[in-house]
Amino acid sequence: MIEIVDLYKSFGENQVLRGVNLKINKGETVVVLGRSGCGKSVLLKHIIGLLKPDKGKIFVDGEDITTFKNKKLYKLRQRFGMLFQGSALFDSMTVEENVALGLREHRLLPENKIKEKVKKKLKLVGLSELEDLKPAELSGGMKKRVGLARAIAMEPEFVLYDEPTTGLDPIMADAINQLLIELRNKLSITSIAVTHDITSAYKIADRIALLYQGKIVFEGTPEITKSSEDPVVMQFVTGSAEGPIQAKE
Amino acid sequence: MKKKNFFEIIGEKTLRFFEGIGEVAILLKDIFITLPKVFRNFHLTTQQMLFMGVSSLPLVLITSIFTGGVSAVQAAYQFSDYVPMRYLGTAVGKAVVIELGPVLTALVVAGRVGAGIAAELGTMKVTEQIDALETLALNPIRFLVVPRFLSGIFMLPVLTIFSDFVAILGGLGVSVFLLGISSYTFLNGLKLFFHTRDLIGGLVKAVVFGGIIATMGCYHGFKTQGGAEGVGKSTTRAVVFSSVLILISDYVIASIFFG
Repeated sequence: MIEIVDLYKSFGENQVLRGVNLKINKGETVVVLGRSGCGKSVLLKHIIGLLKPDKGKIFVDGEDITTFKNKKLYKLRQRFGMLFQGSALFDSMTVEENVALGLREHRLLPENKIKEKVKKKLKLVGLSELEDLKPAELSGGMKKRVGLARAIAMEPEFVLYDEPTTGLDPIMADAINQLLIELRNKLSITSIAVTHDITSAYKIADRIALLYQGKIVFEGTPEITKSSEDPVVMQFVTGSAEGPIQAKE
Repeated sequence: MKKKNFFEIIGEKTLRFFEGIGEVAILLKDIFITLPKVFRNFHLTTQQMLFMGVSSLPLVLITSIFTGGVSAVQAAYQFSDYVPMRYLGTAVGKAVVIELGPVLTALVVAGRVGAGIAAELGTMKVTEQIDALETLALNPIRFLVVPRFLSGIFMLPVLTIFSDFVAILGGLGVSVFLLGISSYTFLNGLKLFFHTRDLIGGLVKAVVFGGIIATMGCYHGFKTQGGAEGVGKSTTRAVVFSSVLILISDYVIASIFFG
Protein backbone atom coordinates (compact mmCIF):
# COMPACT_ATOMS: atom_id res chain seq x y z
CA MET A 1 0.00 0.00 0.00
CA ILE A 2 1.15 3.53 -0.75
CA GLU A 3 0.05 6.46 1.38
CA ILE A 4 0.92 10.07 0.61
CA VAL A 5 0.49 12.39 3.58
CA ASP A 6 0.43 16.20 3.38
CA LEU A 7 3.03 16.46 0.61
CA TYR A 8 4.50 19.87 -0.26
CA LYS A 9 6.99 20.72 -3.01
CA SER A 10 8.16 24.03 -4.45
CA PHE A 11 10.59 24.87 -7.24
CA GLY A 12 11.88 28.35 -6.46
CA GLU A 13 8.81 30.53 -6.05
CA ASN A 14 6.55 28.05 -7.83
CA GLN A 15 4.64 26.04 -5.24
CA VAL A 16 3.64 22.87 -7.10
CA LEU A 17 2.29 20.53 -4.42
CA ARG A 18 0.44 22.13 -1.50
CA GLY A 19 -0.57 19.32 0.82
CA VAL A 20 -1.35 16.25 -1.28
CA ASN A 21 -3.06 13.38 0.55
CA LEU A 22 -3.73 10.11 -1.30
CA LYS A 23 -3.94 6.43 -0.45
CA ILE A 24 -3.42 3.63 -3.01
CA ASN A 25 -4.44 0.16 -1.89
CA LYS A 26 -2.72 -3.06 -2.91
CA GLY A 27 -3.71 -4.27 -6.38
CA GLU A 28 -5.60 -1.05 -7.10
CA THR A 29 -5.22 1.25 -10.13
CA VAL A 30 -5.52 4.91 -9.21
CA VAL A 31 -5.52 7.55 -11.93
CA VAL A 32 -4.48 11.06 -10.94
CA LEU A 33 -6.08 13.55 -13.30
CA GLY A 34 -4.96 17.12 -13.65
CA ARG A 35 -4.08 19.84 -16.09
CA SER A 36 -0.72 19.91 -17.82
CA GLY A 37 1.90 21.36 -15.48
CA CYS A 38 -0.20 20.92 -12.33
CA GLY A 39 2.40 18.68 -10.67
CA LYS A 40 1.25 15.17 -11.62
CA SER A 41 4.69 14.00 -12.77
CA VAL A 42 6.26 15.71 -9.73
CA LEU A 43 3.96 13.63 -7.53
CA LEU A 44 5.02 10.40 -9.29
CA LYS A 45 8.71 11.28 -8.96
CA HIS A 46 8.21 11.70 -5.20
CA ILE A 47 6.63 8.26 -4.92
CA ILE A 48 9.70 6.59 -6.45
CA GLY A 49 12.14 8.82 -4.55
CA LEU A 50 13.47 10.82 -7.51
CA LEU A 51 12.46 14.02 -5.73
CA LYS A 52 12.51 14.87 -2.03
CA PRO A 53 9.50 16.75 -0.66
CA ASP A 54 9.79 20.05 1.19
CA LYS A 55 7.32 18.67 3.73
CA GLY A 56 5.17 15.57 4.11
CA LYS A 57 5.60 11.81 4.10
CA ILE A 58 5.17 8.94 1.68
CA PHE A 59 4.58 5.52 3.18
CA VAL A 60 5.21 2.35 1.17
CA ASP A 61 3.94 -0.65 3.12
CA GLY A 62 4.18 1.40 6.30
CA GLU A 63 7.75 2.70 5.80
CA ASP A 64 8.33 6.42 5.25
CA ILE A 65 10.47 6.50 2.08
CA THR A 66 11.21 10.24 2.32
CA THR A 67 13.75 9.38 5.03
CA PHE A 68 15.48 6.70 2.92
CA LYS A 69 19.14 7.17 1.99
CA ASN A 70 20.66 5.97 -1.30
CA LYS A 71 21.13 2.25 -0.55
CA LYS A 72 17.65 1.77 0.88
CA LEU A 73 16.15 3.86 -1.90
CA TYR A 74 17.76 1.74 -4.64
CA LYS A 75 16.48 -1.39 -2.89
CA LEU A 76 12.98 0.10 -2.78
CA ARG A 77 13.10 1.04 -6.46
CA GLN A 78 13.57 -2.61 -7.39
CA ARG A 79 9.96 -3.06 -6.25
CA PHE A 80 8.81 -0.31 -8.64
CA GLY A 81 8.52 0.07 -12.38
CA MET A 82 7.94 3.36 -14.16
CA LEU A 83 6.71 4.23 -17.63
CA PHE A 84 7.85 7.70 -18.63
CA GLN A 85 5.88 10.20 -20.68
CA GLY A 86 8.45 10.19 -23.49
CA SER A 87 9.31 6.51 -22.84
CA ALA A 88 12.90 7.50 -21.83
CA LEU A 89 14.45 4.56 -23.67
CA PHE A 90 18.25 4.52 -23.71
CA ASP A 91 19.03 5.45 -27.29
CA SER A 92 22.46 3.85 -27.32
CA MET A 93 20.89 0.45 -26.57
CA THR A 94 18.69 -1.93 -28.56
CA VAL A 95 15.14 -2.78 -27.53
CA GLU A 96 16.37 -6.05 -25.98
CA GLU A 97 19.12 -4.29 -24.02
CA ASN A 98 16.66 -1.67 -22.78
CA VAL A 99 14.22 -4.24 -21.45
CA ALA A 100 16.95 -6.49 -20.02
CA LEU A 101 19.02 -3.73 -18.39
CA GLY A 102 17.58 -3.99 -14.88
CA LEU A 103 17.67 -7.79 -14.89
CA ARG A 104 21.28 -7.89 -16.14
CA GLU A 105 22.62 -5.21 -13.83
CA HIS A 106 21.00 -6.63 -10.72
CA ARG A 107 21.96 -10.16 -11.80
CA LEU A 108 18.49 -11.36 -11.04
CA LEU A 109 18.62 -14.23 -13.55
CA PRO A 110 21.15 -16.18 -15.64
CA GLU A 111 21.67 -14.81 -19.17
CA ASN A 112 19.58 -17.47 -20.98
CA LYS A 113 16.65 -16.84 -18.61
CA ILE A 114 16.99 -13.07 -19.14
CA LYS A 115 16.70 -13.49 -22.91
CA GLU A 116 13.66 -15.71 -22.40
CA LYS A 117 12.06 -13.21 -20.05
CA VAL A 118 12.69 -10.26 -22.37
CA LYS A 119 11.01 -12.14 -25.22
CA LYS A 120 8.05 -12.91 -22.94
CA LYS A 121 7.65 -9.31 -21.81
CA LEU A 122 7.94 -7.98 -25.36
CA LYS A 123 5.33 -10.50 -26.46
CA LEU A 124 3.08 -9.37 -23.61
CA VAL A 125 3.18 -5.79 -24.92
CA GLY A 126 2.62 -7.02 -28.47
CA LEU A 127 6.14 -6.47 -29.79
CA SER A 128 7.95 -9.56 -30.97
CA GLU A 129 10.90 -9.76 -33.39
CA LEU A 130 11.98 -6.17 -32.67
CA GLU A 131 14.70 -6.95 -30.13
CA ASP A 132 17.58 -5.74 -32.29
CA LEU A 133 16.12 -2.37 -33.25
CA LYS A 134 17.28 0.88 -31.68
CA PRO A 135 14.69 3.28 -30.15
CA ALA A 136 15.22 5.76 -33.03
CA GLU A 137 13.80 3.14 -35.41
CA LEU A 138 10.53 2.78 -33.46
CA SER A 139 7.23 4.69 -33.64
CA GLY A 140 5.84 6.57 -30.61
CA GLY A 141 3.45 3.73 -29.76
CA MET A 142 6.17 1.12 -30.06
CA LYS A 143 8.45 3.15 -27.77
CA LYS A 144 5.67 3.34 -25.16
CA ARG A 145 5.27 -0.44 -25.34
CA VAL A 146 9.01 -1.05 -24.99
CA GLY A 147 9.00 1.38 -22.04
CA LEU A 148 6.19 -0.64 -20.54
CA ALA A 149 8.03 -3.94 -21.10
CA ARG A 150 11.08 -2.42 -19.38
CA ALA A 151 8.93 -1.16 -16.48
CA ILE A 152 7.51 -4.62 -15.79
CA ALA A 153 10.64 -6.66 -16.60
CA MET A 154 11.74 -6.94 -12.97
CA GLU A 155 8.24 -8.09 -11.89
CA PRO A 156 7.53 -4.96 -9.82
CA GLU A 157 4.82 -4.76 -7.18
CA PHE A 158 4.05 -1.14 -8.10
CA VAL A 159 4.02 0.47 -11.56
CA LEU A 160 3.86 4.22 -12.11
CA TYR A 161 2.61 5.47 -15.46
CA ASP A 162 3.39 9.04 -16.49
CA GLU A 163 0.92 10.06 -19.20
CA PRO A 164 0.72 6.57 -20.73
CA THR A 165 -1.42 7.63 -23.72
CA THR A 166 -0.21 11.17 -24.42
CA GLY A 167 0.95 11.76 -27.96
CA LEU A 168 -0.60 8.56 -29.31
CA ASP A 169 -3.37 8.23 -31.87
CA PRO A 170 -6.74 7.11 -30.38
CA ILE A 171 -6.35 3.52 -31.57
CA MET A 172 -2.86 3.15 -30.16
CA ALA A 173 -3.98 4.92 -26.97
CA ASP A 174 -6.76 2.38 -26.54
CA ALA A 175 -4.33 -0.48 -27.21
CA ILE A 176 -2.11 0.85 -24.41
CA ASN A 177 -5.15 1.14 -22.11
CA GLN A 178 -6.05 -2.49 -22.85
CA LEU A 179 -2.49 -3.46 -22.09
CA LEU A 180 -2.54 -1.71 -18.71
CA ILE A 181 -5.80 -3.48 -17.81
CA GLU A 182 -4.32 -6.83 -18.89
CA LEU A 183 -1.21 -6.21 -16.81
CA ARG A 184 -3.30 -5.39 -13.76
CA ASN A 185 -5.44 -8.50 -14.23
CA LYS A 186 -2.59 -10.88 -15.05
CA LEU A 187 0.10 -9.63 -12.69
CA SER A 188 -2.10 -7.97 -10.01
CA ILE A 189 0.17 -4.93 -9.93
CA THR A 190 -0.62 -1.83 -7.87
CA SER A 191 -0.64 1.06 -10.34
CA ILE A 192 -0.69 4.82 -10.27
CA ALA A 193 -1.22 6.59 -13.58
CA VAL A 194 -1.12 10.34 -14.06
CA THR A 195 -2.82 11.73 -17.12
CA HIS A 196 -5.09 14.43 -18.48
CA ASP A 197 -6.71 11.89 -20.83
CA ILE A 198 -10.16 11.44 -19.29
CA THR A 199 -11.16 8.58 -21.66
CA SER A 200 -8.10 6.63 -20.61
CA ALA A 201 -8.81 7.36 -16.94
CA TYR A 202 -12.38 5.99 -17.17
CA LYS A 203 -11.10 2.87 -18.86
CA ILE A 204 -8.19 1.86 -16.61
CA ALA A 205 -9.00 3.34 -13.19
CA ASP A 206 -10.43 1.66 -10.14
CA ARG A 207 -10.38 5.08 -8.55
CA ILE A 208 -9.83 8.58 -9.97
CA ALA A 209 -8.26 11.48 -8.06
CA LEU A 210 -8.19 15.06 -9.30
CA LEU A 211 -5.11 17.17 -8.60
CA TYR A 212 -5.95 20.85 -8.67
CA GLN A 213 -4.00 23.81 -7.24
CA GLY A 214 -1.50 21.44 -5.63
CA LYS A 215 -4.06 19.34 -3.75
CA ILE A 216 -6.23 16.30 -4.37
CA VAL A 217 -9.64 17.95 -4.53
CA PHE A 218 -11.68 14.90 -5.50
CA GLU A 219 -11.52 11.09 -5.24
CA GLY A 220 -14.01 8.55 -6.52
CA THR A 221 -14.69 5.63 -8.85
CA PRO A 222 -15.08 6.38 -12.57
CA GLU A 223 -18.90 6.19 -12.15
CA ILE A 224 -18.88 8.68 -9.26
CA THR A 225 -16.54 10.94 -11.25
CA LYS A 226 -18.91 10.93 -14.25
CA SER A 227 -21.87 11.87 -12.10
CA SER A 228 -20.04 14.33 -9.81
CA GLU A 229 -21.61 17.74 -9.42
CA ASP A 230 -18.40 19.32 -8.10
CA PRO A 231 -17.88 22.27 -10.51
CA VAL A 232 -14.10 21.61 -10.81
CA VAL A 233 -14.63 17.92 -11.60
CA MET A 234 -17.46 18.70 -14.01
CA GLN A 235 -15.37 21.24 -15.86
CA PHE A 236 -12.42 18.87 -16.15
CA VAL A 237 -14.57 15.92 -17.22
CA THR A 238 -16.45 17.92 -19.84
CA GLY A 239 -13.28 19.66 -20.98
CA SER A 240 -14.86 23.10 -20.87
CA ALA A 241 -12.90 26.36 -20.88
CA GLU A 242 -15.69 27.96 -18.79
CA GLY A 243 -15.73 27.30 -15.04
CA PRO A 244 -13.64 27.59 -11.88
CA ILE A 245 -10.49 26.29 -13.61
CA GLN A 246 -9.02 29.17 -15.56
CA ALA A 247 -7.60 28.35 -19.00
CA LYS A 248 -4.70 30.73 -18.27
CA GLU A 249 -3.09 30.30 -14.86
CA MET B 1 8.12 39.40 -11.26
CA LYS B 2 10.03 42.09 -9.35
CA LYS B 3 13.12 43.37 -11.15
CA LYS B 4 16.30 42.49 -9.22
CA ASN B 5 18.68 45.24 -8.22
CA PHE B 6 22.43 45.19 -8.80
CA PHE B 7 23.31 43.80 -5.34
CA GLU B 8 20.72 41.03 -5.59
CA ILE B 9 22.18 39.96 -8.93
CA ILE B 10 25.75 39.99 -7.54
CA GLY B 11 24.59 38.07 -4.45
CA GLU B 12 22.79 35.46 -6.53
CA LYS B 13 25.78 34.97 -8.84
CA THR B 14 28.14 34.61 -5.86
CA LEU B 15 25.85 32.07 -4.20
CA ARG B 16 25.51 30.19 -7.51
CA PHE B 17 29.30 30.11 -7.86
CA PHE B 18 29.88 28.59 -4.43
CA GLU B 19 26.91 26.25 -4.87
CA GLY B 20 28.57 25.03 -8.08
CA ILE B 21 31.88 24.39 -6.30
CA GLY B 22 30.02 22.42 -3.63
CA GLU B 23 28.15 20.37 -6.23
CA VAL B 24 31.34 19.51 -8.10
CA ALA B 25 32.96 18.48 -4.80
CA ILE B 26 29.98 16.20 -4.04
CA LEU B 27 30.17 14.74 -7.56
CA LEU B 28 33.90 14.00 -7.08
CA LYS B 29 33.18 12.40 -3.70
CA ASP B 30 30.49 10.21 -5.32
CA ILE B 31 32.89 9.27 -8.13
CA PHE B 32 35.58 8.13 -5.67
CA ILE B 33 33.06 6.20 -3.56
CA THR B 34 31.71 4.44 -6.66
CA LEU B 35 35.12 3.84 -8.26
CA PRO B 36 35.64 0.29 -6.86
CA LYS B 37 32.43 -0.87 -8.60
CA VAL B 38 33.75 0.06 -12.04
CA PHE B 39 34.75 -3.52 -12.90
CA ARG B 40 31.11 -4.62 -12.85
CA ASN B 41 30.64 -2.81 -16.18
CA PHE B 42 34.19 -2.39 -17.40
CA HIS B 43 33.02 -2.54 -21.05
CA LEU B 44 31.48 0.91 -20.50
CA THR B 45 34.92 2.26 -19.56
CA THR B 46 36.60 0.64 -22.57
CA GLN B 47 33.92 2.15 -24.85
CA GLN B 48 34.68 5.57 -23.41
CA MET B 49 38.43 5.00 -23.74
CA LEU B 50 37.89 4.25 -27.41
CA PHE B 51 35.83 7.42 -27.86
CA MET B 52 38.14 9.62 -25.82
CA GLY B 53 41.44 8.11 -26.89
CA VAL B 54 41.51 6.32 -30.22
CA SER B 55 38.94 8.55 -31.91
CA SER B 56 40.83 11.67 -30.82
CA LEU B 57 44.10 10.53 -32.42
CA PRO B 58 43.67 12.21 -35.84
CA LEU B 59 42.85 15.57 -34.24
CA VAL B 60 45.75 15.32 -31.77
CA LEU B 61 48.05 14.25 -34.61
CA ILE B 62 47.35 17.34 -36.72
CA THR B 63 47.46 19.73 -33.74
CA SER B 64 50.72 18.26 -32.47
CA ILE B 65 52.60 18.30 -35.78
CA PHE B 66 51.96 22.00 -36.19
CA THR B 67 52.58 22.72 -32.51
CA GLY B 68 56.03 21.11 -32.79
CA GLY B 69 56.67 22.93 -36.04
CA VAL B 70 55.74 26.34 -34.71
CA SER B 71 57.72 25.85 -31.52
CA ALA B 72 60.83 25.13 -33.65
CA VAL B 73 60.24 28.23 -35.78
CA GLN B 74 59.62 30.41 -32.70
CA ALA B 75 62.65 29.06 -30.84
CA ALA B 76 64.90 29.55 -33.88
CA TYR B 77 63.68 33.16 -34.19
CA GLN B 78 64.34 33.86 -30.50
CA PHE B 79 67.75 32.14 -30.62
CA SER B 80 69.01 34.06 -33.67
CA ASP B 81 72.31 35.82 -32.89
CA TYR B 82 72.21 34.97 -29.16
CA VAL B 83 71.92 31.20 -28.59
CA PRO B 84 73.62 28.45 -30.63
CA MET B 85 71.21 26.41 -32.77
CA ARG B 86 72.43 23.17 -31.17
CA TYR B 87 70.06 24.07 -28.30
CA LEU B 88 67.03 24.18 -30.61
CA GLY B 89 66.12 20.53 -29.84
CA THR B 90 66.38 21.30 -26.11
CA ALA B 91 63.98 24.24 -26.40
CA VAL B 92 61.47 22.35 -28.54
CA GLY B 93 61.64 19.24 -26.32
CA LYS B 94 61.18 21.16 -23.07
CA ALA B 95 58.37 23.32 -24.43
CA VAL B 96 56.52 20.33 -25.85
CA VAL B 97 56.96 17.85 -22.98
CA ILE B 98 56.35 20.27 -20.11
CA GLU B 99 53.74 22.60 -21.54
CA LEU B 100 52.53 22.42 -25.11
CA GLY B 101 51.88 18.67 -25.34
CA PRO B 102 49.71 18.34 -22.22
CA VAL B 103 47.94 21.71 -22.46
CA LEU B 104 47.12 21.77 -26.17
CA THR B 105 46.07 18.11 -26.16
CA ALA B 106 43.81 18.82 -23.19
CA LEU B 107 42.26 21.88 -24.84
CA VAL B 108 41.62 19.96 -28.07
CA VAL B 109 40.13 17.00 -26.16
CA ALA B 110 38.03 19.38 -24.02
CA GLY B 111 36.52 20.77 -27.22
CA ARG B 112 35.86 17.36 -28.71
CA VAL B 113 35.22 15.00 -25.80
CA GLY B 114 34.10 17.38 -23.02
CA ALA B 115 31.47 18.85 -25.34
CA GLY B 116 30.43 15.33 -26.39
CA ILE B 117 30.00 14.15 -22.80
CA ALA B 118 27.96 17.23 -21.82
CA ALA B 119 25.74 16.94 -24.91
CA GLU B 120 25.15 13.20 -24.44
CA LEU B 121 24.39 13.37 -20.71
CA GLY B 122 22.43 16.60 -21.17
CA THR B 123 20.20 14.93 -23.76
CA MET B 124 19.79 11.93 -21.45
CA LYS B 125 18.80 14.31 -18.66
CA VAL B 126 16.16 16.22 -20.62
CA THR B 127 14.68 13.04 -22.11
CA GLU B 128 14.44 11.53 -18.58
CA GLN B 129 16.86 8.69 -19.42
CA ILE B 130 18.86 9.47 -16.26
CA ASP B 131 15.64 9.30 -14.20
CA ALA B 132 14.87 6.01 -15.96
CA LEU B 133 18.24 4.62 -14.81
CA GLU B 134 17.39 5.63 -11.25
CA THR B 135 13.96 3.98 -11.44
CA LEU B 136 15.70 0.74 -12.49
CA ALA B 137 17.67 1.09 -9.23
CA LEU B 138 20.88 1.82 -11.18
CA ASN B 139 23.24 4.51 -9.98
CA PRO B 140 23.94 7.01 -12.82
CA ILE B 141 27.29 7.86 -11.25
CA ARG B 142 28.46 4.24 -11.57
CA PHE B 143 26.87 3.79 -14.95
CA LEU B 144 27.65 7.09 -16.68
CA VAL B 145 30.17 9.18 -14.77
CA VAL B 146 32.79 6.74 -13.48
CA PRO B 147 33.55 5.21 -16.94
CA ARG B 148 34.02 8.70 -18.40
CA PHE B 149 36.13 9.88 -15.47
CA LEU B 150 38.40 6.84 -15.61
CA SER B 151 38.85 7.01 -19.35
CA GLY B 152 39.68 10.72 -18.95
CA ILE B 153 42.46 10.18 -16.43
CA PHE B 154 43.87 7.20 -18.35
CA MET B 155 43.54 8.32 -21.94
CA LEU B 156 44.70 11.92 -21.66
CA PRO B 157 48.23 10.88 -20.56
CA VAL B 158 48.28 8.35 -23.43
CA LEU B 159 47.22 11.05 -25.90
CA THR B 160 49.78 13.41 -24.37
CA ILE B 161 52.63 10.92 -24.90
CA PHE B 162 51.47 10.52 -28.50
CA SER B 163 51.24 14.29 -28.86
CA ASP B 164 54.75 14.83 -27.37
CA PHE B 165 56.19 12.32 -29.82
CA VAL B 166 54.43 13.77 -32.88
CA ALA B 167 55.20 17.38 -31.86
CA ILE B 168 58.91 16.58 -31.50
CA LEU B 169 58.80 14.94 -34.94
CA GLY B 170 57.11 18.10 -36.26
CA GLY B 171 59.82 20.23 -34.67
CA LEU B 172 62.51 17.96 -36.13
CA GLY B 173 60.93 18.13 -39.60
CA VAL B 174 60.79 21.93 -39.57
CA SER B 175 64.34 22.17 -38.20
CA VAL B 176 65.78 19.85 -40.86
CA PHE B 177 63.77 20.91 -43.90
CA LEU B 178 63.18 24.61 -43.27
CA LEU B 179 65.83 25.81 -40.83
CA GLY B 180 68.74 23.81 -42.20
CA ILE B 181 69.71 22.17 -38.91
CA SER B 182 70.85 18.56 -39.06
CA SER B 183 68.76 15.89 -37.38
CA TYR B 184 71.87 14.89 -35.40
CA THR B 185 72.17 18.41 -33.92
CA PHE B 186 68.46 18.59 -33.14
CA LEU B 187 68.32 15.17 -31.45
CA ASN B 188 71.51 15.82 -29.49
CA GLY B 189 70.01 19.07 -28.24
CA LEU B 190 66.83 17.19 -27.31
CA LYS B 191 68.81 14.81 -25.12
CA LEU B 192 71.08 17.44 -23.65
CA PHE B 193 69.02 18.72 -20.73
CA PHE B 194 66.28 16.10 -20.71
CA HIS B 195 65.06 15.33 -17.18
CA THR B 196 62.59 12.56 -16.32
CA ARG B 197 60.92 15.10 -14.02
CA ASP B 198 59.88 17.10 -17.13
CA LEU B 199 58.06 14.12 -18.57
CA ILE B 200 56.46 13.16 -15.23
CA GLY B 201 55.34 16.76 -14.65
CA GLY B 202 53.72 16.80 -18.10
CA LEU B 203 51.97 13.49 -17.49
CA VAL B 204 50.71 14.55 -14.04
CA LYS B 205 49.21 17.57 -15.77
CA ALA B 206 47.56 15.27 -18.31
CA VAL B 207 45.99 13.11 -15.57
CA VAL B 208 44.55 16.20 -13.86
CA PHE B 209 43.35 17.68 -17.17
CA GLY B 210 41.65 14.38 -18.08
CA GLY B 211 39.83 14.42 -14.74
CA ILE B 212 38.78 18.04 -15.27
CA ILE B 213 37.41 17.40 -18.79
CA ALA B 214 35.37 14.37 -17.72
CA THR B 215 34.11 15.96 -14.50
CA MET B 216 33.05 19.20 -16.18
CA GLY B 217 31.36 17.32 -19.04
CA CYS B 218 29.43 15.11 -16.61
CA TYR B 219 28.59 17.91 -14.17
CA HIS B 220 27.22 20.25 -16.81
CA GLY B 221 25.44 17.37 -18.57
CA PHE B 222 23.68 16.42 -15.33
CA LYS B 223 22.74 20.05 -14.66
CA THR B 224 21.03 20.46 -18.05
CA GLN B 225 17.54 21.90 -17.99
CA GLY B 226 15.05 22.54 -20.76
CA GLY B 227 15.37 21.15 -24.25
CA ALA B 228 17.83 21.62 -27.09
CA GLU B 229 18.70 25.12 -25.88
CA GLY B 230 19.64 23.74 -22.45
CA VAL B 231 21.83 21.07 -24.02
CA GLY B 232 23.58 23.73 -26.09
CA LYS B 233 24.24 25.88 -23.02
CA SER B 234 25.57 22.92 -21.02
CA THR B 235 27.91 21.96 -23.85
CA THR B 236 29.30 25.49 -24.05
CA ARG B 237 29.70 25.69 -20.26
CA ALA B 238 31.48 22.32 -20.14
CA VAL B 239 34.06 23.44 -22.71
CA VAL B 240 34.55 26.92 -21.22
CA PHE B 241 34.92 25.68 -17.62
CA SER B 242 37.21 22.81 -18.69
CA SER B 243 39.47 25.18 -20.62
CA VAL B 244 39.68 27.73 -17.81
CA LEU B 245 40.32 25.06 -15.17
CA ILE B 246 42.96 23.42 -17.38
CA LEU B 247 44.89 26.68 -17.62
CA ILE B 248 44.56 27.43 -13.88
CA SER B 249 45.62 23.93 -12.82
CA ASP B 250 48.45 24.07 -15.37
CA TYR B 251 49.89 27.03 -13.49
CA VAL B 252 49.43 25.32 -10.11
CA ILE B 253 51.08 22.05 -11.19
CA ALA B 254 53.91 23.88 -12.98
CA SER B 255 54.57 25.86 -9.78
CA ILE B 256 54.72 22.65 -7.74
CA PHE B 257 56.95 20.72 -10.16
CA PHE B 258 59.11 23.40 -11.68
CA GLY B 259 58.67 26.42 -9.43
